[in-house]
Amino acid sequence: MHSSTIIGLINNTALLLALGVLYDTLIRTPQKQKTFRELITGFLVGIAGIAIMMNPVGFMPGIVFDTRSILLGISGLFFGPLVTLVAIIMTGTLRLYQGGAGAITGTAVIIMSGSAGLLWSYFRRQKIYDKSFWELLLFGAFVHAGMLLLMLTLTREAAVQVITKLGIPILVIYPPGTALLGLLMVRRYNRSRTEEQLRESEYHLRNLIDNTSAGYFHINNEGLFSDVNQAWLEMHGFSSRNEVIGKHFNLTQVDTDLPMADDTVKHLMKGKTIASAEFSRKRKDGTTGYHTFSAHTVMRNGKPEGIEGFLIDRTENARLQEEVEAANIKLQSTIADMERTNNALNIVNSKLFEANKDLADSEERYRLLFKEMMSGFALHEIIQDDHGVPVDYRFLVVNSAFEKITGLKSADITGKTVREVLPDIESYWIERYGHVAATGAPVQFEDYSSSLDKYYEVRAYSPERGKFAVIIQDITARKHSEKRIENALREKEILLRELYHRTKNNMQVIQSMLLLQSIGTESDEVKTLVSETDMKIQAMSLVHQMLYQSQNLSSINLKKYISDLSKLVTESTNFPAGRVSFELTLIDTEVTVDIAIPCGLVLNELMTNTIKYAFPEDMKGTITISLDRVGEKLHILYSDNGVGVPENFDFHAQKSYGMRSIFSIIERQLQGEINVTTGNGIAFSIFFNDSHYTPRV
Amino acid sequence: MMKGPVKILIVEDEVFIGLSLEAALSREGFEITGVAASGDEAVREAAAASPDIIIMDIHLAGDMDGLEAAAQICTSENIPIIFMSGYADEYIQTKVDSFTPVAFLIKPVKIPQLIQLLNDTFALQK
Repeated sequence: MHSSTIIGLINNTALLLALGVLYDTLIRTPQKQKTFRELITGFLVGIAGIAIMMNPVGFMPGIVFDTRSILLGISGLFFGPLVTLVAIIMTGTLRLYQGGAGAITGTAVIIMSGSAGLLWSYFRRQKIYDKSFWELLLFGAFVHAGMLLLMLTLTREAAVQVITKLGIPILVIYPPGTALLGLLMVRRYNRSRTEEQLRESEYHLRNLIDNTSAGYFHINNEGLFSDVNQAWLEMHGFSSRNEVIGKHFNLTQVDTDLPMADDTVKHLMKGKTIASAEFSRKRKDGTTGYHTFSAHTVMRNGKPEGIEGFLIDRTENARLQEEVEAANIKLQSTIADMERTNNALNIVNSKLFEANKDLADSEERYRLLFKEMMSGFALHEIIQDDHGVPVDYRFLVVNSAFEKITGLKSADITGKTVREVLPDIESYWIERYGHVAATGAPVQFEDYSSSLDKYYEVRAYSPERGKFAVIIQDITARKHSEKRIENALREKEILLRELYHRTKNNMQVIQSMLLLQSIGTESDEVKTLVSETDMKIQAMSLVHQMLYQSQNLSSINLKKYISDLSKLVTESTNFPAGRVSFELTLIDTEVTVDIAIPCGLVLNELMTNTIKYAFPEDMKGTITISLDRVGEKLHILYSDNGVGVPENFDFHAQKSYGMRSIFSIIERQLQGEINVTTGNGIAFSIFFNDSHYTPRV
Repeated sequence: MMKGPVKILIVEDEVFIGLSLEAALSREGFEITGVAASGDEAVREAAAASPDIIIMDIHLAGDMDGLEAAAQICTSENIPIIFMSGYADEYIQTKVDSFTPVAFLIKPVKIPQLIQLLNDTFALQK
C-alpha cells in the first residue's frame, strides 16, 4: 500500500471523528420537531459523507476508496432510518455523479453500509447504546466484509486487484475505525444522557424544595442566607426571597437562642453533624414559632461551603402538645383512678375467681358427697291444704344412700307424694317437716317409722321456702342396742335395789333373831351385847337403806348418813330424851359403801360410848361432829363435852372390842389416822382417803 | 273406852321379824291376835279376830300384797293400820297415803319407836 493511501485513509478517519462532534451538538438540541431535526442531521451526515468522498484514496481510474462505509454504517447504527436515508441519497448521488468504473460498486457500498447499520440497529436496538468495543469491531468487520464482496461487482481484473491489494488493509483498518467511531458515539451519548438525568434530577430537587411543606434554607460559610424555599418564607412571615437572601441567619433567631444558634452553625461549618432537634424561630412580625431543625454541612471540594437543612413547623404541634400534656395529666389522673378501680376490681375478680373456684370445687365436692355420702339425702316439696296446713310432701330428689336406707327406689318415688308411697305414715313426720319448710328453722330428731319399721336419725332443713331437705341415718340397730342396754341397766338397777333391800331385810331378820334370843334372859351382859350388836347392824343397815334409795346405787351422801345415824343412835338407846344434843357441821360429799359402813361403825361406837360414859347421872351434854375435806382426805372431828377420860388413859391398850375396833377400822381398813385429845371431854380427829376404794357398781 | 289390852294383828312374811315384833310388843302388854304371813291370811285373821290395829308389811309372799289385803279389810272393817316396808318409793308412798294410815314405817322398824307410836295411839284406851 502506498503511503498516500494510508494518509488518505487517516484524513477520512479524521473527518469521521468530526461526526462525533456533530452528534454531540445535535443531541444537545431540544427534542422537538423530531423529523426536522433528523432531516437536518441526515443532511449534515450527508455533507460529512460528501466531504469524506471529496478526499478519496484513488486506487485506479474510476475506483476510489474512502471511509463513507464507516460513516453510513455508524449512521445506520445510531441515527435511524431517516437520517441514514438522507445521507445515503446525498452520498449515493455524489458517487453516481462522480461516475467511473466503480460508480455502481461505490453506490452499492453506500447503500449496503447504511442498510447494514439499520439492520444491526434493528436487531440489536434495545442495547445499541450499551455496545461494547468488541461488538462494534464485529459490526465493522461485517460491514467491510460486505464491502469487499461488493468489489466482485467490478470487472474481474479490477476486483482481483482491489481484493488482493486493499483486502487486508481494509479489514485491518476499517473495522477498528468503525469500532472507535461507534465507541465515541456511545460515550458521547451516555455522557449526554447522564447530563440530562442530572438536569432532570436538579429540576425534581428544586421542584421538591419549592413545593415541600418543610422550610428549606441554605446558609453560606459567611452565615448569610443564599437560598430559602416558599415554605420557609411562609413559616417566617416573609413574602419574598429578596427579603432574606444575603441576610445573616440571625435575622430569624430568637435573641435568647442566638448563642446556641451560633454554636450550632459553627459546629456544622466544621463539617460535624447535629442531631435533629427542636428550635424556636423569630418571625418577621416578631412573634415566635417552633420547628424541628435538621441540617448538614454542604461540602465542596472537601471543604465546608455552607449549611443547608429543613425546618418542620411545630408551632401548632407545640400548642397541641400543651393541650395534649394537659389532657395527659387528666388522663394520667383518670388512669390512676382506673388503676385503683382496676386493682379493686382485680381483687374482687380474684376473690370472685377464688370464690367461683371454691364454689366449683364445693359443688363438685357436694355432688360427690351427695352421691357417695353414707347418709341418706332427700329433697322434698311440702304440700299444704287450703288453710296452709302441711298435709303431704313430694319427693324431688334422693341419693342412693336414701334408697338403701329406706328401701324406697328413686325411680319409684321421685315426683310422688309420701302419702302415695307410704299411706300409713305417721302425721307427725309431715307436721315436723311442714314446720321446717314454713319457718326455715332446722330440726334434728330421732324417731320410729312404723311404715318402714325402722328408727331414723333425721336432720331436716329448708334450702328454700316451701321445700325441705333431710339427711337421714338408719339407727335401728343402735336403737335396738340402746334398748338392750337400757333393759340390762334397768335389770341391774332392779337387782341391785333388790339386793340392798334383801341385805337390809336380812339384817332386820338377824336383829329380830338377836332380839328373840335375848328375850327371857336376865343377864345384863347378854342384853348389852345384843343391844350393841343390834346398833351395829342398824348402822350397817342404814347404809343399805340409803343405797337402795340412791340414784346411782353405788354411793351415798355421807352428810345425810351421819345425820340419820345420830338420830338412829339416839332413838335406839334408852337414854332419856333431851340429855344429849348433837351439833353437826357436815359438808356434802358422796362416798362408796366401802367407806360409808366403816365410818358408820366407828361413829356408832363413838356415839354409843359417849352416851354410855360421858354424861353420868343427870348430866346433859353435846356431841359435836364436823365433816370436811383437807386436801384429798376427809376429816371427821368427833367430840363431846362429857367427863372425858383419866389422864394418861391409853386408848390403844384398851381391851374392849368396841374401842379396838375403832382404831382397827381407821388405821387398817381405811388406811387413815386417828388422834385422840382429852381435856374438857374427849375429841377424836380422824383422817382418811375416801378414794381408797373405787365404786364397784 | 277400850276394855283389856290393845289387840294387834301383825302381818309379816319374814318369820323372825314377825316373831320378834310379837315378843317385843307382848312384853309391852299388847295382845297379839296373830302373825299372818300372807295377804289372804291377813284378811281372814282380821275378820276372825277383829284387832284394834294391824301392823301390815306391804311386800308379802303370795298373790296378795299388804296394800291389797288392807283394801279388802277396809271394805268390811274400819281397822287402823300401820304400814311398814323396806321399799319407800314414790309409788308405794302414794298408795299408802290413800288408806290414811296411822303411820308408814320404813324397815328396819325400831322397836322403841313402834311401841311409842302404839302407846300414843291408844293412850286413852289403855
